[in-house]
Amino acid sequence: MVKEVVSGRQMINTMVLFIFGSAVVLGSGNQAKEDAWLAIIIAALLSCPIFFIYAKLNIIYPDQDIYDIVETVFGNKIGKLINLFFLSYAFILGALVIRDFSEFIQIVSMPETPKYVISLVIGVFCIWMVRSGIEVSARWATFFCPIVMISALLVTILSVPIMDINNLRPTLYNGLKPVISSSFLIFTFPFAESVVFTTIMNSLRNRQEALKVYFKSLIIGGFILLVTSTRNMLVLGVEYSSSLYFPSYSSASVINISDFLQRIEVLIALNFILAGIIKISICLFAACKGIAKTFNIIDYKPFSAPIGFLMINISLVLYDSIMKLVDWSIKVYPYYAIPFQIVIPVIVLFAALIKSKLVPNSKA
Amino acid sequence: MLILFLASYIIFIFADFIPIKNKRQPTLLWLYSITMSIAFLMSIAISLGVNIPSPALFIERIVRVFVD
Repeated sequence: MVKEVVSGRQMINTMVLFIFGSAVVLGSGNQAKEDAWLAIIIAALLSCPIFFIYAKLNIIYPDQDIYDIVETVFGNKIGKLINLFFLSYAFILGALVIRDFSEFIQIVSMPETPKYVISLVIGVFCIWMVRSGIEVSARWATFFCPIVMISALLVTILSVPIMDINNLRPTLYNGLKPVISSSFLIFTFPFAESVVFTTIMNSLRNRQEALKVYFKSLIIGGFILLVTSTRNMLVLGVEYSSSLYFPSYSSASVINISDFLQRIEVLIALNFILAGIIKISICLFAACKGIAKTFNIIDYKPFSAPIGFLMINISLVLYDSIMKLVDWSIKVYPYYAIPFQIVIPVIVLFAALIKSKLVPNSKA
Repeated sequence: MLILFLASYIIFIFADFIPIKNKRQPTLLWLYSITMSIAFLMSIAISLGVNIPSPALFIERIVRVFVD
């Protein structure tokens, strides 16, 4: 199989789209109310050590992805077991994003269209993207990332006349507890979800750039998230913003510049679609690679269709309604994600460091 | 719904199956066939309205054991 190579810039664009993909539309830090901005900053700071761990893994074993590293460190049998566990996370995450997507499109623009049609169209597009390879996805992300970022910032600038700074006051009225719990939620969704990038980071042209890629993406993605979340609070107010499923969409829909420029919420929908496709594709990449590595198959691309279709099917049966989706995302998902986002990478890094000291030639 | 799913499965099976067969990797062929069959059967079940248990509920039960 031909080795796929992605430049640092392309990887940063891909990761930025991945980080603020669904979070920018679903809204982040609503639980912290007027202190959402503080929760996002704390979450970004909390993400620094864990991003360092992800990057360190890719730097210690530059030619290997997380599946190879786990097998190198823990051996064949335990390694494959951990890999199966890890790929299940990428699979479920992909299904969750497809579901977010189909709920969003159905609620805001196509209420009569069945969910499976929307899921199928998005899913087939992502399957085709994975079949084309990581290079194509990275180039796609490099083209669309600036467009998505400019549109997000444009909506924010156009919202300035209808912003009310009093919506962010008083600071820390409810104490630090809701801020900390909200930053924990933001840490697990979307920042630490970047753990799936450990499966494709070996495609980076200069592997020593891994640290730079992770941190630049965190800064850019975190900044966009901070700007959009603060904008939603300033425009809609705390209570209204917290009660909405898609606050960004609603905050863009109230923009009206001299009865001339209005209905620009389509830009938010565009953001979600473009960034969401990258997020689903990366999860599908991770799941397909995991299956291929577990069963010792060189090429992961043939699995894109069956795993993609399974993802679509699972996304359709995950929840009965969007209420359950949001409830599950807040109450269950953060605890479900911790083993994959923190526990496995930390254990693998420590084991890799110990192994590389005991057996100096164990590095790939 | 069933027709839409059938059409997409047929397109991908036609596009994938012959290249996979030509690769002469029995594990790949078997694994592809099994995963595709599971996905296909699941799609049929969903389109016929069969109630498939959600993995979200299963995950929730496991999480509740540790969190509550």
